[in-house]
Amino acid sequence: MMRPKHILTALAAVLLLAAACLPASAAAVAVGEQAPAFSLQDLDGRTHTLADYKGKTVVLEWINPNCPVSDRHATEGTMTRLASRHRDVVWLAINSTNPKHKDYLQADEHKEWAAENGIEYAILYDPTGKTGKAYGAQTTPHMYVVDQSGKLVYNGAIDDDPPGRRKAAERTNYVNGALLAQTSGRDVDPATTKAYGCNVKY
Amino acid sequence: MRPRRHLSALAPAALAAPALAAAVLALAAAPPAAAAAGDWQVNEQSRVRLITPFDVAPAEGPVRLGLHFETEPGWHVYWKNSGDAGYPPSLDLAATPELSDVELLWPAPERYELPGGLVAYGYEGEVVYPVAARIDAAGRGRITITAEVDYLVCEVECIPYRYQLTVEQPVAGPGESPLTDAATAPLLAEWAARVPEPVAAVGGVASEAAVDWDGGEGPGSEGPEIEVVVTGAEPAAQAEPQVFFGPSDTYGTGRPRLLDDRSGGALRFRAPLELLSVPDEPPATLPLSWTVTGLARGDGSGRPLAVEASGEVPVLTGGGPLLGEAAASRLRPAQLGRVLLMAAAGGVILHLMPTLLPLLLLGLLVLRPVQASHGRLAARAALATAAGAFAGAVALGAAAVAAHRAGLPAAWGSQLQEPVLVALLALAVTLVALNLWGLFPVPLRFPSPDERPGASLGGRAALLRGAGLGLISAFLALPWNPPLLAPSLGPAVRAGLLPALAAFAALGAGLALPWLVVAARPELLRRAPRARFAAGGWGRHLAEALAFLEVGSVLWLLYVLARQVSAEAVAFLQLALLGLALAAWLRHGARRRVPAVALAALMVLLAATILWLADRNRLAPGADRVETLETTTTTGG
Repeated sequence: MMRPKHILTALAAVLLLAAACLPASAAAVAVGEQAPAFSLQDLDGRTHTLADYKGKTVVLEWINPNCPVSDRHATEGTMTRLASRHRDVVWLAINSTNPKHKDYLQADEHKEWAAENGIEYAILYDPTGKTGKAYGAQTTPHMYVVDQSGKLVYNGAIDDDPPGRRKAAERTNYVNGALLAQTSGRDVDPATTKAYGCNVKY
Repeated sequence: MRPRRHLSALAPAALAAPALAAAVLALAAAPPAAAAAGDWQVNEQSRVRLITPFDVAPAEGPVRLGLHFETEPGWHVYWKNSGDAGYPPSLDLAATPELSDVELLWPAPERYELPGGLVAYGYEGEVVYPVAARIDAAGRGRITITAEVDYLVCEVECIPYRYQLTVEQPVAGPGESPLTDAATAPLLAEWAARVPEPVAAVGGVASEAAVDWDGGEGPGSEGPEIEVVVTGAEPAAQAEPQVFFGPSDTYGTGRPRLLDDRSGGALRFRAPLELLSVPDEPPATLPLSWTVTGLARGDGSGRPLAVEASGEVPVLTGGGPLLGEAAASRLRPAQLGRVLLMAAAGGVILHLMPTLLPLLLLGLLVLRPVQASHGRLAARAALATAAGAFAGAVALGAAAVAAHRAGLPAAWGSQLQEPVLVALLALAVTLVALNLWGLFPVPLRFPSPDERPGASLGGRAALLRGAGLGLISAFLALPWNPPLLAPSLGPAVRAGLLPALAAFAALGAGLALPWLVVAARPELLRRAPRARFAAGGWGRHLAEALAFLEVGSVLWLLYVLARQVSAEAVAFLQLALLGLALAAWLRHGARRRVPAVALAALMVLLAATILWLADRNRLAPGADRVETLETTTTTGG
């Protein structure tokens, strides 16, 4: 005769099996969904989480100083100019380079590069690449805008000029457009564009 | 230019010897080195130059140039869709007024896997991008073609380059005919032949595409997929057919696979579609451009062929093959058999799901006949439950077919994309949790300690309760997607009403199986311990513990809902569930007996409110946004 203890043990085993039957939803986040949470350390070892900035608009920029495209935007000041123009927006740069990859920069070298380019916003390390994969970051640079309620409202390129041929004023800066739309309550349009740059070195 | 420099250097000495003069003249008269090709611009990873096929170009009309790259091993330049990273080369001929209508053409690319699961499309080693243009240089004699090229060359790292490329191009005078270059013209022709042709221009070959919104079958194919079909072309002898998609700002594509199914002689590909934005409902069409390479011409020559096509392709629901002959299939008997088996197995597996497991375990314990003579009563009640589960599953099948006919997604799993259904499921599962906590009478009735053993098993009430339990079990299967259900039910629904009902009936049979076993052999139940459902008894403890599985399922449903509707709608539903629990608890503790009907009425009211909200489109994300007046833009771009 089965004892209650056996029933409960069998139950526990069955539950583990049943966990396999949850509908899968592990794809990268899409615009319109809640931006995935993260908890990453910056170059000084301080931890930043997305929840820290709830209530503010957050721009996430995937960078890699050793990628010429990402570095060009740093040299030209595309992102820093934008960050200083939108002072109430939180700007976070994320470097998802695999520590074993030759592009990986130690904190002091990274700080040097940031200082050379006048970057004052936080630069976060994502060494496991988990945050990058959760956001579906493919290139450096790859830009995301998260609104004040934590919803992703823009995913894509910084602008429409991958080779950087045109002058800054002649390029359409999608992130600027997204931030302006946010402040005036309009829909972000385009909400997605194809990002360009080097591949993220996971 | 080299000859001229020599000329000027030698000029003073030219008078010295006629032989020297003849040599100089010979040099001057020789055509400039590689008139049809500009100089190479060289860097460590690659080199690039501009070429034309002409030693003497036509003065007017369409012409082809070539952007010629050679790259070091491992380094590649990009196709028009660079893939997950990079960007394609750009060519600017604005500095050459004689050329207009310039268009860069793209030979069929290769696919490169990058670390991190990323992919690139491009060319390694050598590529000539043909450039179509119109020339208007009548009476010029010679023009200088000047172009600016920007490109990215990548191996593991990427390096951008920008060069100015020039070619000196003699132009045919009046009455002169153009002259092709023996070296560059065949090179350009070879690469021009690799540019995919529009499929409409290739006789006997056709290609269609569609989006399967409900996703494919088998592991790794959840979510929408693109299906591309090519008819009238065979795979090339030395190459494997591949499909490439054009770039898009609104979606990305995953790794395509060539399906084994060659019914009707068609080549069929499937690739995951990754939408960058979550739409409220499936779009009617999707703008898509696709290129299929690795084909052979059907004219018997076996020459390689690549085709391209584009358009707004339809977005279809229901799962299974979409296009061509395979799509119109009725399920063949062997396939139907497999579908029925998978659906039945899926039905059995469903009993392991957190919403159904408590009902099964406790339902069996409640049915356990205390005396052996009550075995027949227990068997009848179990049979009623089996019938209820079966009927419930068939009803789900009918609903699936109706949804499919109405154009809604109808594959198993797509029910979780309907916010209203998810909300109603959350309500129902909450009620079951309340039932297990003893606060609500339906669906399980735990025998009270002072009634005669077996009293609850007899009579019509027991049969009705059993059937109700079975029906609710079928409904509570909806939050879950165990492995076998989607691949079996999807094709069945698409194949028609009868196959769909048969498949769902098989699902019902799987759901009903434990109850059928008990109905056939009620003495098996006596192996279970006798549960005491009195307050403090272990049976009641078990029921209360299992109720937490139900609550966990509600949390899962709320998570699913949170991804689809606004936060306010989720909060409303959470409040509604809390209110329901509170009402049940109050009723339970009330001194005067409040009929359960009141609680049921409350639930109906809540369900109706949810439906009303959905109808007014208040559940959609963003519906809560405060409308602001448009203000004039303050800062510039």
